[in-house]
Amino acid sequence: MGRKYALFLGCLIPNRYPGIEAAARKVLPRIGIELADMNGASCCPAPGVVKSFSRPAWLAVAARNLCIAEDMALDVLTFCNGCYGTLADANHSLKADRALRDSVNSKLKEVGMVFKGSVGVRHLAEVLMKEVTPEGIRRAVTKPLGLRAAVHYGCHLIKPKVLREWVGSAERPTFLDELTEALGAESVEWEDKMACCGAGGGVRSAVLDVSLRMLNRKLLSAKEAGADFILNVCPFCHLQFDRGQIELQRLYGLQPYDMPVLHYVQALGLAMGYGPHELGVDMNFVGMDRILSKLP
Amino acid sequence: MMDDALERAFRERVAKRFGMKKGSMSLAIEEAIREWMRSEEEAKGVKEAKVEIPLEHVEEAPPPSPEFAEEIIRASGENINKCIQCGNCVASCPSGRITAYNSRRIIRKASMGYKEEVLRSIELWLCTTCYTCVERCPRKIDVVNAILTMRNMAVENGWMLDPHKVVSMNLMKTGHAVPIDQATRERRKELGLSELPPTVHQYERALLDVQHILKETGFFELVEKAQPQKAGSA
Repeated sequence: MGRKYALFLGCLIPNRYPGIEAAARKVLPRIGIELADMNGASCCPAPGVVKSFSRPAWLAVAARNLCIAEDMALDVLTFCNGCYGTLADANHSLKADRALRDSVNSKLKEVGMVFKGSVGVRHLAEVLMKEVTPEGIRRAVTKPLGLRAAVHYGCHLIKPKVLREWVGSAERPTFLDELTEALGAESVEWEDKMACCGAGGGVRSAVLDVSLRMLNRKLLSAKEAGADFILNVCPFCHLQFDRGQIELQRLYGLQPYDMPVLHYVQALGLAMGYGPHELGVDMNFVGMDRILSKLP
Repeated sequence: MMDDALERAFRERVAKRFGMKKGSMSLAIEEAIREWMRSEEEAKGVKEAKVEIPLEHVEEAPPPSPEFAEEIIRASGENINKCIQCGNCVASCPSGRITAYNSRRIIRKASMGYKEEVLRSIELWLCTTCYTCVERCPRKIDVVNAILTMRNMAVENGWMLDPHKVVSMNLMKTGHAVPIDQATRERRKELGLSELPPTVHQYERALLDVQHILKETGFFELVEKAQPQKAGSA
C-alpha cells in the first residue's frame, strides 16, 4: 500500500550529495513511498549551529518549513538526522506549548503563514521499519549485497529518546540492522557503533581536529571489525565519514582507510539492481572499488 | 597526613582564586589533581589532547554572579542545581573522550555562577549534541538543552566563533547553511535532477520570507554584532 509524503531535502543532500536525492527519487516510489516536493523549503535550520546561536530564529524558520507541509496536508519525510532532529523536535515543542506557538505565529503571519500543528515528521528509517517493513524490503531486493556493513545510526535519529518512542532502545537499537540485513548484507558488531561521528553541534565547522579525532576512532573500529562499508542514514554523518577520510589523510598523514560510505537509499538502490552511477555512489570522495567488485 | 603549612597555603590560594564558598575546595582539588596527572603523563611522554583556548583568556576569574544559574534555569527549564556531580555525562561523552571537555564541570561552574568563565570558554563549543549524556543522566537533566542555552547566551554577548559566523551568513544570504556550489550543479544535471533543488534556491520569494523571519527574530543583528573570534584547535 502506497503512502505519500512531503519530501524535505535540507542542505547537504541536494547541495553536496545529490546522489542520495537521486537514489531516493528512483527507489522509494518503487517500494510504495510517494514523494511530493516541498517547494521553497529552506535549511531546516541546522540544530547544532543555528539552535546554538538563537533558539527563537531556529524555531521560527523550522515552523515555516513545517507550514509548507501543512499546506500540502502531508507528513514530512526526511533522510537527514539533523533535519529530523530540528523538524521533529520543533514540531513537538510547537504542538505542546501554546505560548510558544502564538509567539512563532506572530512572526509567520508577516509572511502569510500560520503553524497549525496538523502534520507529523518522519525519518525514512522509521517509515521503512514500520510501514514498508524489513520483509517488504526483502521482497524488493533483486541483488542481495552480500557485504559486511558497519551500521551507523547517528545521534539525532534516536535521541533524545523521550521524543522518539518508536526507536525502542536508544542505547542498543536494532531497527537499522534489521533493515540492513534485509538488503542481504551482514551487520557487523563494532565497538564504536553507537558513538557520534563527531560532526554535529557545530564542532566540525569550528573545531575540525576534535571532530576528526572522533571520526578516526569510529573508522578504526569499523576497519577492525572487518566491515566492507559504512552504512548511514544522514548526509552529515555521510559527509563526515566520506570527506573526513580524505582530511585525516591530508591533515594527519594517516594511511587511507579506503572505507566506502553509503546512505541507506543508495545501498537499497544497489540491492534493487540500479547501477552505481544512477545512484551517485561514484560521486563520493572515497572510491567504491572495494565493494563494487564484490557485488553480484 | 598533610603538612599544616601546606594545607593553610592551599586554602588561602583557593579562597583567592575561587572565593570563600561551598564547592571552592572541590574545584581547586580537581584542578590540582588534573595538573598533577598531566605532569605525570608528560613525564611519561604521553601527549595528551590539549585544547587551546582561542577566546580571550580570562586571567582573573571575575566574581561569580549568583543570578547566572537562575538565568539558565529560567531560559532552559533545566534545573542544573539538581546535578549531583556523578560524572555519568563525562564518561559518556565522545568529545570528552579525546579532549579536556568536561560537561560536569561546565554545569558545576554554571551553578556556582561563573558566567564569564563558562560563556567565553571554547569548551562550550566542543559538545556535538549527541544526547548520550541526556539519556544517561540519573537526575534527568537535559545537559544538551542547558549547553545550548549557554551557547545562546554567549552569542547574545557577541561571542561567536568565526566559522559559525560564516555558516550563519550562508543561511542569511541563501536560506541554506550549506548552499549549492558549481560542482554539485553539474552533478545534479548528470544525475537527471534539476540543476537547482526545488528549495529556496529555486524560489526567490521564499528566500525573502526566510530572510524576513531571520530579521524579525533578531538573527541578523545577532550575527552582525559578533566580534571576531578565532576558531579552536586541539
